[in-house]
Formats: sequence, C-alpha cells, structure tokens
Amino acid sequence: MLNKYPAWKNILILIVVILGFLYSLPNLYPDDPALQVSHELTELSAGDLPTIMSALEAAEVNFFGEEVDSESILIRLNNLDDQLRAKTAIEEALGDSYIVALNLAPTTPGWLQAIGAGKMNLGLDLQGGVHFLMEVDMDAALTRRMEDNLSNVRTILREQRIRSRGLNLISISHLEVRFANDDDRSQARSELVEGFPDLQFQSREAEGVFILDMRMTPAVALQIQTDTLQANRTTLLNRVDTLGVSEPTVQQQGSDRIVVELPGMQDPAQAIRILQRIATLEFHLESELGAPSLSYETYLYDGVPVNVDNDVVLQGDRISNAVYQLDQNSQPSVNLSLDAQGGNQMNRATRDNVNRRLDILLIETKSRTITTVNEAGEEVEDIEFYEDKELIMHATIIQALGRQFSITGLTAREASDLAPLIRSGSSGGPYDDC
Amino acid sequence: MTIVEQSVIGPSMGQENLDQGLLGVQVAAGLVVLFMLFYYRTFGMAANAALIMNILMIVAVMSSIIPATLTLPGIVGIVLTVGMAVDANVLIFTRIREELSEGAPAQKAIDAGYNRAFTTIIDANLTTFLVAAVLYTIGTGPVRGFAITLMIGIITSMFTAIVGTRAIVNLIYGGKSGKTLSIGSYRMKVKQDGLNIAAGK
Repeated sequence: MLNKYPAWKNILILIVVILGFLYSLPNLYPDDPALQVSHELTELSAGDLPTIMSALEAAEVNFFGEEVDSESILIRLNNLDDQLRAKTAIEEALGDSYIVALNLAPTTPGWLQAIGAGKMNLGLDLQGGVHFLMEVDMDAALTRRMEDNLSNVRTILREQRIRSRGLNLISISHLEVRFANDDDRSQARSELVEGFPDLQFQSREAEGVFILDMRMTPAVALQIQTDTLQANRTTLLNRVDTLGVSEPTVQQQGSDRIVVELPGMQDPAQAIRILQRIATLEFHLESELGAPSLSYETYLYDGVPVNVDNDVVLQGDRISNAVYQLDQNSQPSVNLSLDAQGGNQMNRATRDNVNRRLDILLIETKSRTITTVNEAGEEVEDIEFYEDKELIMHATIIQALGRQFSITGLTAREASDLAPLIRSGSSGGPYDDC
Repeated sequence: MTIVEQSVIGPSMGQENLDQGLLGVQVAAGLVVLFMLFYYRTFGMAANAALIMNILMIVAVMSSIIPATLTLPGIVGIVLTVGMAVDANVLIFTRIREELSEGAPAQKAIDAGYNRAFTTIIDANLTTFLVAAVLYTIGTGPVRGFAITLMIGIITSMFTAIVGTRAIVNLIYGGKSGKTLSIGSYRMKVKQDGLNIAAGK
C-alpha cells in the first residue's frame, strides 16, 4: 500500500490545472467601453471615420484603438460616461440611418486569444441590457395563408373559366366558394384538389347554392405555426445582427414566443425601431383602366400616382433570395428567386398579363413615440405602432415569370437599395401583424 | 409579432449584481476553506487547493469550452458547487478517520477511505446531475443559467475532489510507512475482544 500515483497521472493533473488557469485568465482583463458604428442597410463609406473622429474631438471625448472594417467601426473609450457622451455626439454627426451601439471591447492579450481563450459571457442581469419577449400572432399568420389561398383559387377558377358566385373567407381556417350549379362545382373541385394539398374539400348545398368548403387541417395549421415561428426567429436574428450587439440571444420560448436579449444595449427605443423595421412584401398587379374604385389603392411612385390592384399575386415569404447584380450588359439589376409554389403563382399571374405592370408593396410596421396626457394631467411618452405601405417597385412584365427573374432598368443606386429592401421583407412572415 | 414584455437593466445595476455575486462566492469559499482547515488540517488544505482548482476549472470551461452565459442564478450554481465539492472530501476524510479509529495503519486508511467513499460520492453527484439536466432541458432563462453551472461544477468537482485531493495527499503521505496523519481529531475505538454482546437483530 504505497499510495503513489504514477508520474503520468500527476503530470496529467498538472496539465489540467495549468489549462484551467490559462483559460480562466482572460476574465482578469476588464473590457473597454466601446461604441460600434454601422449602417442600417449599406456598408460604411470611407468618410465616416473622419466624421466620427471630428465629432468626438468637438465633444472633447477621449478615445483610442479605433478599428475599421467594411461593416462597422469600433471605437474604444475610457469610461462609461465617455461612452454615453460619445454615442450622442456620433449620432448627431451621422444621422438616423446609422446605428451606434454600446459595446464592450475585449482587452485579452493576443497570445491568449491565439489559444482560443476568451472571457465568460455575462448574462443581462450581470452586464445590463435590453430584454424583449415577443409574441407571434399566429391567427394573423393563418389568415394570411388563407388569403393567399383565396387569391390562388380565384386565379385558377378564372383561368379554367369556371364561373363562381363568390369566394369568402369564413374563418381563419375555412374558405368557401359558391357555385350556381353542381357541374361547375365538381369541375372546380377536380381542378383545385391537386393545387391545394393542405386543404380538405367538402361539398354542400344551401339555399339553392352549391358550395365548396375548403378547410385547413389542424396538422397543417400546426406546421404553419412552427414554420412561422422559425421564420420569425431567423429574421429577428438577422435584424439583431445589424444592431451590433456582441452576444445577442434570440430563443424560442413555448409555441408562440421568442425571447430577445441584447446585452450592453441601453436604448430599448432604438432596438424596437430596428426589430420592428422588418417588413413584408406583397406583389400586386397594376389595376386595369376602368376597374371599380374599391378594387385598388393608389400609391405614389416617383411622385406619380399608381393604382395597385388589391389582389395579392405573391406574398414576400415566397421569396428565397434577392441579390443586386450586373447583368450581361453590365446593367444593374435585382435578381429574385422564389420557392416552388411562389414560382407557380408568379407564372400563373404573369403569363396572361405581359405588358402589364407588376408592383411590389413594402409593408412596414413602424413605431413612433407619442406624447399623451394621462388622467393625472402628466405627459406620458408611449410607443405607437402603425403600418406604412410603400410602393417600392413598378415594373413592366416583359414575359411570363417563373422561379427566377430579374428587375432591370434601374440605376445602380436604385438596384442596390432595392435588393436589401426586398430581402428584409422576404422571410418576414407575419411581421406585418406587429 | 408583438412585444409582450420588455425590460432594461442598466450597466451600473448589472455591475452591482456582479459584484455582490462575486462577494457571495468569496464569502462562501472563504468560510468553507476556514472550516476545512480547522477540521481536517493537512487534509483540509488538500481539499481547499482542490476547491480553488475547481472554481478555476468552472470559469475556464464556461469561458472557452462551452459558450455558456453566466447569470446571477449561475453564480448561485457555483456557490452550491463550492459546497458540494468539499462535501465529497468530507465523506472521504470522515471515512479515513473511521479507518484510523479502528486501528488501521495510515496508508491503508487513506486507500480505504478514498475507495469506500467513491461510490457514495458518485451516487450523490449523479442524482444531482440528473436533476440539473432536467432543469436545463425544461427550464427557461434563469433556471437554465443555474442548471448549466451546476452541471459543469459537478463534473469538475468530481475530478478535483477525488483525483485532485488524492494526488496532493499522495504527494504528502504516499510511499512512506507508519506516519501519523494530520486529519484532525478522532477517537480511537477501544477494542473489547470477545466481550461484545451484539444488539439483538
């Protein structure tokens, strides 16, 4: 009974102790308060850093260690007070479309970073920051899907020249089509059944009208909920990235909630502005001349009024990507890719409408601070949400479109602005229901 | 999508939470260290070294290996692990004392102490680990922060409290025979050969 460990075991323990010591070492280096400046949509330009530096000098704030890359500028400051003063100064100098995020920059020595050692992430409760719990409006998501279906049914019936006596959305999971006779109904049913695997069909008669009921099954509704939540989470993640927060968390909680935690962020209004900026897109056709005035709405495009038909050709969530490119003639263009169903819908809508105009509406839910007077007679600031619809594209359909098509005839600036706009509204899912 | 809950924690509030949390860890660790020193002497020192090593390892794991986030409940998890780490040592050392009090020689007592306490420690830690794992899976927010540090702490403390202290004890006492152990006071049992009357079963 010697009670001796072999040498290798002692050495192993020693190595573990040394590793433990090394990898916990970075926590002894305190972070520098820092500001991270980025642009909401585009990359930073070369003139931004001098603007920032002169603004800081004017405000008499000491700064050091500025780091510049194409997407953001990082500026280190001596203390938290300087950080706040510098933030105000930079925001005034650069204007609204820039994001100035409070951040903490690590001061871990290079050799520790080289072996992969870093600081422990501190949670919101230890570091400060903004916490949001967001709830996704599932009813709105389902309604949207059904409205989409309604619009598709109408198109198919029109194409097949089947006369209907009206289409109605009865509830969020129930759609009915009325027919004058049984023949029309059975013909419609056979045409529709294939195109809508998500729906259950049922025929009934009431008051001499032949009705075709189309209902969404609970399983499909559940699938839509899952997809919607996932899409929202992805979009939130993308949006949160533009805030320049160092360790954001975007987590699903339960079946319809998402937790967003932004450590270091101190300005909830700014966070809300960015998070809510997410928009949806809708493709519409331009209204035909002489159409009834209830069937369209008028928007301004380049100062010219345009009548946009109310029927949605395609929802933005069918867009899988939108990129700015130069075409073979070196002309700027925006290339769009749709998913399979989106391609079908687009083809159906455009093949009979060549030479008509296709419009894209960007629907953004924005927030504004309103001041109201409460019962006690005090002024209270509150955040109000409103929907803002904007016509962002008005282009002629040259040929029947499919899953891939491009928008040309734009200036380089227009094209490079349009692509991120379309992307921001693409996977937005039910964001218009904020 | 609507915002149903919104809160802001200021940086100074966060710093205060962090400072108080760290103070909590220091006080807890300090008291435990004093107790172990007073109660188990040299063996207590070994346990204390292991305790510090354990805290270092938790920090290291959370900093670099698992990208876990330290929250206030997470600090509570670390404090709990501090207690649990020495708990294993208390089991081992008490066992060694018992062996000694039954007249076992020093070397044999150490070996038997570690071996016999081992299964008890494994059982205790395994059950706690399972509970922490359940908390982590079904819990949200603060609960998860607690569970993750507890799980990491259980694993690292098993290593430091069993392997770590044994290495130190071996370095001090190993390979020499007939030495007395500095493990605090224990009472020798008086042997009453042949005169014992077993209590009826």
